[in-house]
Amino acid sequence: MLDLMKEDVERPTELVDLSRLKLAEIAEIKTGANKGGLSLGSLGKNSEAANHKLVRQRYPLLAQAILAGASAQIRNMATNGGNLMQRTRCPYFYDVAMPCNKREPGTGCGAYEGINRMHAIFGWNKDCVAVYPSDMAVALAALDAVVNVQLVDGKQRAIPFTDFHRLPGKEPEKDTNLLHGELITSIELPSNNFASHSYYLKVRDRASYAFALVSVAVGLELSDNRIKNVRIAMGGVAHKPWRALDSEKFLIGKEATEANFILAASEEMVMAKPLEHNKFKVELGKRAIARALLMAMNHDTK
Amino acid sequence: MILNKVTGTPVNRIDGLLKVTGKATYATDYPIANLAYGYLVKSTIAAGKILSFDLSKAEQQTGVLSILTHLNIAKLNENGGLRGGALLQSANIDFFGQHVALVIAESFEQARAAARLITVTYQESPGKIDFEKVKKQAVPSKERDKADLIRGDVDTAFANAAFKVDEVYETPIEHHQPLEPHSTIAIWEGEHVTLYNGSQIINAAQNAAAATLNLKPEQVRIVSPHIGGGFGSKGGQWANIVLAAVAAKKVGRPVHLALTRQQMFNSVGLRQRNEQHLRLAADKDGKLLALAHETVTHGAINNEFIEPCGDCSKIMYDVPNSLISYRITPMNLIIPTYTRGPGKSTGSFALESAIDELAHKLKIDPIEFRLRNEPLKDPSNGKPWSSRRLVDCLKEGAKAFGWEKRNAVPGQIAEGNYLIGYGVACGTYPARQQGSSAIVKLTKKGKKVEAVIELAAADLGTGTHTIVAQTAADGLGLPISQIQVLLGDSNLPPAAGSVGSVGAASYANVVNDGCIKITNELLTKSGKQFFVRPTAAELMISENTDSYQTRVDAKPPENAGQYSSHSFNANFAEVWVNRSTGMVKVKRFLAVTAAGKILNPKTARSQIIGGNVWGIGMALTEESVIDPRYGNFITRSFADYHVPSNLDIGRLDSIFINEEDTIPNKLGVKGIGEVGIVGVAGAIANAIYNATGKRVRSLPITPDKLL
Repeated sequence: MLDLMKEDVERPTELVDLSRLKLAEIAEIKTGANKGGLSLGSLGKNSEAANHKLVRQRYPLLAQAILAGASAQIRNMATNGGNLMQRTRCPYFYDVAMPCNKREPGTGCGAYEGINRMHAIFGWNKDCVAVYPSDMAVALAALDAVVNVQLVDGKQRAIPFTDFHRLPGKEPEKDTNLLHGELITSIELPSNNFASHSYYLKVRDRASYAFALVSVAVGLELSDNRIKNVRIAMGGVAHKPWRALDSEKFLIGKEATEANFILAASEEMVMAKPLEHNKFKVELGKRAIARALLMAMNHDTK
Repeated sequence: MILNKVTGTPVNRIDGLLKVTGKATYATDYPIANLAYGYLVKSTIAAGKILSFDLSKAEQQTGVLSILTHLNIAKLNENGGLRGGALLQSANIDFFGQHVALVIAESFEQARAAARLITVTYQESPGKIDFEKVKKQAVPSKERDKADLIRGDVDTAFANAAFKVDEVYETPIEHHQPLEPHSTIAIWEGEHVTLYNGSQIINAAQNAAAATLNLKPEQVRIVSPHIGGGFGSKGGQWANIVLAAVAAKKVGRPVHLALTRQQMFNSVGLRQRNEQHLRLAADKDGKLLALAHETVTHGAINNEFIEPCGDCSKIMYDVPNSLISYRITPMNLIIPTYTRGPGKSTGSFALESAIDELAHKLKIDPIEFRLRNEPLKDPSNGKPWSSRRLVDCLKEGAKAFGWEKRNAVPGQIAEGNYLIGYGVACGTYPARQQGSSAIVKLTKKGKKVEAVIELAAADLGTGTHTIVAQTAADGLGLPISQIQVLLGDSNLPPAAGSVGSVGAASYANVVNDGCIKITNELLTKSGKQFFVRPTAAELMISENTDSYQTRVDAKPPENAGQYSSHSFNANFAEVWVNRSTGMVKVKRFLAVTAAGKILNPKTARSQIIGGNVWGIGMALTEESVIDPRYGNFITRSFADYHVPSNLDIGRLDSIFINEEDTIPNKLGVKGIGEVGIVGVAGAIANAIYNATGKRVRSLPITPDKLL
């Protein structure tokens, strides 16, 4: 928010300080649908979540994704809820001299026919080709996390992670399905069997402090080298964390082999619609999915 | 002359404590009362005219003191020597992000908030903003030293040669982006103005600011003891320095004007985009026959600047037929300017890539190929080298780096998912001394003698304070702790700038001359004969002199021009390329440099590895991208303009060749600021080829180019 205010992108007339709310806890979920899972308080810091013993043991994918994002200094300040509320880093969104439907609905999309190397290959339309920047959220999408929110009147609801962020549709100015006045209280991680076979792969222009060209979060559940369950989510390719459902579908019940991983990757990437400057993302996405699956299978997190 | 005790040793920076405790004063660090703050408004079109301003909302904001535009600003001299125009003198817009107004308010935040309420109405005209289109109109340069340089007959030699390379190498626009953005505090006292402003050339900044403000130089004082980096962008000065002065005059208060990181991209110059066409030919024994290096680039509207991409090609190799040329076309962009290793860093990428390509075709090791084409004298002018130790750089570097482990066939060495490659590339930069003056002051307190050295030198953060103190310590016979160095102030004796690798040679020589002079004068004053020449410090005590000072003016040696004097280096890179993702890691980098006398191996190493880091950025990450519809940079912060992060940098090693060359200057100091970046990108690109078999001729080499 501060960055966006300095750039004149956001012009809030009022800001509400949430920092004194007691919403920073990381705790095992004792009741409800996600019993046995883990709850991350929305005001907890990214670095604490990434380094928490239970997160590292049960959700190494999330720890890895958080640590792939931003810089140590930013992760020490950034909250889990705030991470979900990041806005796109599309340069046309950030430069108020440029047209941008997300910043100023009706002005057009500067990136659609502009320099769109960093932009979407899935789910975009001519009104907005921006991508969602978070790494953490890509892992959360793969982990089928749930976002708990509360309205001003105290009413609560739980939003499945894949419904939390939106595709641009006719309202690219809306990044999420949060209602006005809703506050994120926690993020719930359901229990799963991915901990021993997961991997977050981030491809970027420099080794640290760069947004993903393409990233892939993978969780594999294997039974005698056969794929019992798999989740694949991608970053840097769409207006929201993108679940590669076609790749997942292809892999269920198949043997975990590099050949199958490559075939699975193509299943999803064949649907991609690249723009003028990001055609490379199709091939890169294919390679990244296959590579991330292989790394997850080999349980190699180096 | 006693020049061996303190110089040449790895003394810690004498200003290090000031810096790590935050006490070193950069341009806006002065506690000045009653400061007002400026914020610049910039154009949102690349070409056209301002039709009108609506300032009404901005003027009503709390804290706003004044708003300057071309309609109400004082007349300034646009030919006063500042770079980049944008002095608010007319309604014309020549580039996107040109300054169009300056808001002055009680606080920075108030000025910024008000600036955003200003509406500017433009009449837009078609701009020259797409290099791909305008490059076809490029014409020969007006600069005499950029005229076609022809030796022999390249075309015939090329046509008849058995082995050749004929390729185009592209380098993008880059930005200097020093850590300290360009910032000024301006304070008037009567008709005199003091400008706290980071300046690589103190006296040039003073002269340009004065001329632009229609003042005499003595009415302007530049204060710049510490500079937070510049890389060429603080060599010439830009509109902001003078606009701060005009604003301060207007509101009758000191004014603070600092550019934001985003504003830096179109306020203080850039490294221009270059397209370099290389033609290289050799016989089957690897003897070079022809070298053509033809550069196409862009300047600004009505203003030309060309970085000399062909400079390395002029002197690196012995070749009988050669052509160096430049073609330039105007663009609606801020004027390009000197940028670290100007011309040499970009030019060496093209030349050294082409050399590597030709060596590969000849099946000759690229080091051996270079050795076979080592020139005995400067091929461009026939002058003898004052000293050229490139062969030693290559040989010692090959040994230290383990070059013998390289496999000449690309793509053969792998570890896990990584392909590993080795690359080599050479670099050079001229060695020069420039005329400078200095004052040496000695005082005696009891048995303790202390010295103050004064000159208007610049310290970019590279260690000028320290090498001046080291030179004086040896020259006067004092411990370094008893020497105070005052520099970066136009009230001090005029000195060379910290640009073009002339700083160290110019400063060390004038200080050394000053120490000799003051010792001679004290000797004469004593009226005594000494069997062993005493030091100035000893004379102060033996003659019981409380204080003494002298001023010295130094010039380069008269015969220096009869020789060709340059620093040389050989760069070695080991890269690991991720087969799946195309991401490149420079695991090891070694720079072997022959740069004459190294005054301080510690700060010198920092300079070299700093150059290496930028070279790695140049090779792999840095690019300023323009939207050809609007003419704006879409890379406008460090989130988009990727300087290397710590994680991008592997092991960096630096070796200095022991070189004594007192022809360019008495102390044999050749300078190291520029050469550290020259040859770096070439070595990395060559290593990537060795690793992958992919020859990327367009920088930066981002992952998508290696898929």
